[in-house]
Amino acid sequence: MDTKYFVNPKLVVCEWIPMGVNNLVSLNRHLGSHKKYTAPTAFGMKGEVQNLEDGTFKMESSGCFLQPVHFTISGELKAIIKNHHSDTDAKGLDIDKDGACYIGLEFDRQIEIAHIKDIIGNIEAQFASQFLPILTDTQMSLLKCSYGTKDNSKLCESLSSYAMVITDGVGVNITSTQEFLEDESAKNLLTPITDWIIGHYSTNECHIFIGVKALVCVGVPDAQLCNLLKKVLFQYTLFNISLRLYSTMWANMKILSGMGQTIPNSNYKDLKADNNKLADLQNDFSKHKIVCEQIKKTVESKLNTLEEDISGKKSPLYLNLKKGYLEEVEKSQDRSVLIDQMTIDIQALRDQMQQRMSLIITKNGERLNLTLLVLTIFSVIGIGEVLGFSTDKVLLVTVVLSPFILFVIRGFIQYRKDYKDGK
Amino acid sequence: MEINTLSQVSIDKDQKCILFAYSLYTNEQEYTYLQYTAACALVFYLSQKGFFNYNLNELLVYDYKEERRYIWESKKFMADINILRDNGLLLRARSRSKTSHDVNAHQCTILGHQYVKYLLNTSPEIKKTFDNIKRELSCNGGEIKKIKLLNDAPHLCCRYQSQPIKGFLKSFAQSPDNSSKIPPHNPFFI
Repeated sequence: MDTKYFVNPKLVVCEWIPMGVNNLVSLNRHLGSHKKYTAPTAFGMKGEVQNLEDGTFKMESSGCFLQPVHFTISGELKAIIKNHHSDTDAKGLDIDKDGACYIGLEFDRQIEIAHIKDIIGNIEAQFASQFLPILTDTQMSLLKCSYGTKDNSKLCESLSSYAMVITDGVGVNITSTQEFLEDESAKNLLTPITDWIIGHYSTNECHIFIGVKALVCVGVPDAQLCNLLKKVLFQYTLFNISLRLYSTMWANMKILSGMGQTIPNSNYKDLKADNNKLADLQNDFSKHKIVCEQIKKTVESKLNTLEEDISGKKSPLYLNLKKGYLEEVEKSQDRSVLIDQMTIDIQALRDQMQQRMSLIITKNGERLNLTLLVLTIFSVIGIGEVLGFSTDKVLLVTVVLSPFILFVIRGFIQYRKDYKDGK
Repeated sequence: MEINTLSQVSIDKDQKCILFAYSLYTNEQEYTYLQYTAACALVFYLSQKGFFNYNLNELLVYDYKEERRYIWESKKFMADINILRDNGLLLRARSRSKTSHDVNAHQCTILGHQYVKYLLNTSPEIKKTFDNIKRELSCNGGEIKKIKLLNDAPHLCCRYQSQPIKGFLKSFAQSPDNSSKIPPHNPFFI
């Protein structure tokens, strides 16, 4: 089989980062974008300054380097990102206040189509190791929550992106996307990068194939189409993020329902553990709520700018893009309702747990009192023995006490079961 | 790095001296950095000693430990730093501390250290200046003085001595015996 190539491809990988205006302004200021520095600045070095009183300090490793190219202080930053100041493996980073983050690079040669996913994987991993250490703890916490991961290293591996390839050609002549996809010899040409193709458009002398994992644009898009493609890219990135977020929420909902079923039979130790787990879940749901709100704000912001682009245009690409963003708003609202419902469920579970814990404590209190009573009676018998009571009397008292003793033993066993290692 | 490349570097004497000072305190390979505030204090001190000809009256509102204070910073010094960066001799970095999420700092690059070494070997005049700077920043035993940003002033410290850099921090707090330093003026309304 012939190897197929992208001709002079430009590759853009898109990620969503919880950004916001404050973080972007802060990044722009710290980078010195307004000073138009021509040399890069290092960020995200491992370690932290222990004592600000010391003029010099030592870090554990170097970070990544950002060199501003274009910016608006509260809107966006375009910068070159690299591993060290003379790195030849530099990439373009374009991030805006909504958290749309594009990492781009271009090749002035042919690249095998099947090799592109490998390159995308490498870009994702490099970007994660370079850019994530720059983020604040809060941003990282929200990002980890979105992807359902607890530690930073796993987050680097689990970023879910969407990619775009803009290429001068794919080695076969394309007259329209429809014809291309109907041609038996060509229709699977792009799937190694796109996976399933779910949309295709021929517009502005370009042919656009939208897949589940990536989109391919064959041709030379003008500025207007580039702007539109950026929005398509981001919409599918948000789609993936939403999917991941919902999966994480679903997993948490499952844990919650499992807890509800076990409470009636749980012992004190299990209840205490579940109570801690419940606090974690509540914390997660609070973060989910914030992420949902941020995504909703992001989508609404993008929709506003899209409305300006779209005015009067009937192109199916525009219309489907708008539809995609509107669906994201709807999904976001749907998730918010779900989170509200989960918050109520958590409260109900917490009440149920408290009741069960109180019941266990009360029962054990009763058993303890009974134990004290029996011990007191034993003491009385002992005193009777010392004072010379007859054997019959002692036997009679012992027989009378037998049920109490059995009850105490049973209570002790129950106590052990409820409290075993549960302090 | 080739000697030819190093000989092509074109920076002025102030910039060479700044780079030398940075090379005493920082190293790219060791991930060591000098806070920008501390660098300003250091160059202010060296200017007082006559190594630089910066205007000592220029001010900047900047981070001094966890506070915002008026410190000395000459715009020419800032421009010199940027020229060193553009030549790849100095690196700018923003790091985190335990109490703040951003500390501005610089470090002498590998190339910067090579260039300092090259200057020491090729220019007796600059070597003499560097030796004088090093002497100024050294204790009797030869140890390079540490820069401590203390509340009253930055200090150059070594084991037996802590020497404040006077005049680096400006305070505008009014005291009863200190009349206003604003020139004579009248009220104005816009």
